[in-house]
Amino acid sequence: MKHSRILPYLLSLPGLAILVAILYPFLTGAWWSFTSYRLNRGDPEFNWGENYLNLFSSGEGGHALLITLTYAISTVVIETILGVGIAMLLNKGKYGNFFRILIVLPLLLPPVIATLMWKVMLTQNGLVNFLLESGGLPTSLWFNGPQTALLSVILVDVWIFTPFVILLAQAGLRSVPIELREASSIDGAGPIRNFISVTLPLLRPVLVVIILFRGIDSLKMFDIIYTSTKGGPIDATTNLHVMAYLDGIRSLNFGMAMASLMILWLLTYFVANRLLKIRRQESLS
Amino acid sequence: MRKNSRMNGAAKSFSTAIAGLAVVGLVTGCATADTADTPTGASDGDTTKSESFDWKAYEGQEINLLLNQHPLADTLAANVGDFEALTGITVNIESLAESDYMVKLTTELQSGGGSYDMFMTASPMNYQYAAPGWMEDLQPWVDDPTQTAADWDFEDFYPALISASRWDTTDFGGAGQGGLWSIPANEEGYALFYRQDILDAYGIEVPNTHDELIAAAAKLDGVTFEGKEISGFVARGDKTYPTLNPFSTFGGAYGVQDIVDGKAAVNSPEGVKAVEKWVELMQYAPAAASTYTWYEAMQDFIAGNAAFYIDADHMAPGFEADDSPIQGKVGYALPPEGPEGRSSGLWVWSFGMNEASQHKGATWQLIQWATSKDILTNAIGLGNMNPTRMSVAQSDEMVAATSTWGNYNAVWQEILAEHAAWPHSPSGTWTEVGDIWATAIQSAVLGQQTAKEALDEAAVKIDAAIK
Repeated sequence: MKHSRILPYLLSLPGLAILVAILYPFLTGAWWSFTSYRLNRGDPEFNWGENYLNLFSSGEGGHALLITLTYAISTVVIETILGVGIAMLLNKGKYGNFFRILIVLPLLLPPVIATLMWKVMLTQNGLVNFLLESGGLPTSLWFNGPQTALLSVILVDVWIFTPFVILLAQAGLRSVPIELREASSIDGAGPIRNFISVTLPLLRPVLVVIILFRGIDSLKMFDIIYTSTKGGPIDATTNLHVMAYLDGIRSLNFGMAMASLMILWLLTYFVANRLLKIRRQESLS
Repeated sequence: MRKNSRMNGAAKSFSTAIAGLAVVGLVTGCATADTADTPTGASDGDTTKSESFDWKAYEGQEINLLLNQHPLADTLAANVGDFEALTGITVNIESLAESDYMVKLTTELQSGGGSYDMFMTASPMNYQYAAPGWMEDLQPWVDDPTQTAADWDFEDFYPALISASRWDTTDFGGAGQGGLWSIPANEEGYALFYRQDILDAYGIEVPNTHDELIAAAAKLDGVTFEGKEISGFVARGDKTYPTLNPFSTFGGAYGVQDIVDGKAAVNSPEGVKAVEKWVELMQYAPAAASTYTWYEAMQDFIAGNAAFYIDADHMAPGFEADDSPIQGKVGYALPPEGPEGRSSGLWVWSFGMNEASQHKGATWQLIQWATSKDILTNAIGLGNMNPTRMSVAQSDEMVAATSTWGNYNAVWQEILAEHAAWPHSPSGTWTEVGDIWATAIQSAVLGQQTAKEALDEAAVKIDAAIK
């Protein structure tokens, strides 16, 4: 059978189209990050990386990077510990299935709605402060306080996304052979030793997936933060993504916005790359 | 090895996808900004232009509006059926919450697509949109007797509001000159609201100066009135430029300017003093007020939680509504006096036209109809205050609508006539300048920095932004 000369080129067209669709916006953004492009002030002009210099010399970029990392590390650590812990309890308990349905509810809410719900409950005269006051405990400014705003958005993230970790961890825990745990118990291992030496190593591939998904999501977090605080008070919750939005959409400064996003991309790329390598090693071993 | 390389490829594709997604959110909304060269006045609509003005000149055309959720938009939506009957033009209205509205309007205008023919705008938005050529200069339309109804009466608008709608697109200059970018439809100045019943109960006179206001707020802060703990004061304090509107009653009264000779002047001695006084007053507001937008501050006052409040005078219909707990209890006063006298910012919601509109004639008909005497008079009953036409402001309808609101009708007119002006330097970067300034004020109010530290830092950022 004779092949058409054009056929291979035709067959590669869809792949090429996808490549262009991904690369064109990405490369445009990368180019703009090296320009003084303001949406309402003419075409982009190359400015020799001034945006990157300004970001870090003004301290704003460093601060946003710190908020981005604090947010991502805190949410991933808290959600992973809580999620795995709850999953173990659910797998043991009699009513695990019932609670699993209940506990997944936050995940079914759109994050913006869930955040707005918490925003109402965490106002100065809101439900949470009322309950704290009723219990004789001190109240808080939550989203409105420069010292408490970041913690508040982290808690909302934990409330929404811990169920995601629970679901994956439960699946992972079920793949740990019960015989191994029984054997280690017969050998005299207590519950903690059992968890550290048997369950945790076998749960590692699932943990990598959890950290990969939640890590990337948290690094790029926008909706929870913007809905609750718009990056404030002052810049207490301004991460790289929110800063890019404020620069690009509010101030129309696309050069600066793209510089922030390129830094965010590099960070995300680095984290994703490291975790995928670990996952690959897990698969090979 | 083969498996490994395939996985490497997958990892690379995944990483590339992440990279694309990281920027695509902002990139997709932005085509190239090459809309500035569209010839003014030329559009499909003009091909049917008649020799004399005719409301039916653009019959059969369809125009799209993007509006901010506001009593002005409600008024337009309530009456637009009459316009459609009068002209035979079909009008489609889309209303969005303010922050979503600003984002969508900006992306639509810069795309040059002309999807929306007409929109609501105000001075800072005109500064962002007029310089790159995204807005139609309306002066030629006003001057054209074949396009403008003889009884529309352009001279009836308050001159200060027309002046606030003009700009010659020169950065940090040219305000009140050059192109007419919008037609005013709603005016707000900034007044001092007070709870007359609380002041009477504690024997406090209506404050006349900043110091008197601070002293009165201090005295009333924390008192219990009708079973409720009252805060001495409330105002918006969030870190965006609209916070500068109520602050203008302090800033202007100290003679503060944002930019002088192309350099930031927010940290001048008078700038620092004005913020220090504002911070002093805000100590008697609820702790969360430093992040309040106008809506939250207004709700706080309507709920009866505060004795004094400075904000847009046209919030009065909300205070005096039948379901308002403070109906009939509010007093209206001029902004308090400072070293340089009294001062008020000015916000003018207006109608503007997309330069890329393909239906400019039909759109201009809607703009002039929506800002006509009849419609603005009708709007009073729908809560669209304050009128932008002198004849409507002095009409019997306005007097009747505000007859039970104490001295409201006299106060807002005096603010507009004597004190209100857009107090900032026009430029395409003004909204960024305003955000930086408002963030510095928030930082000082929250006690994170002194007023001087916050404003010095803001001045450096403003200089970088306007470079």
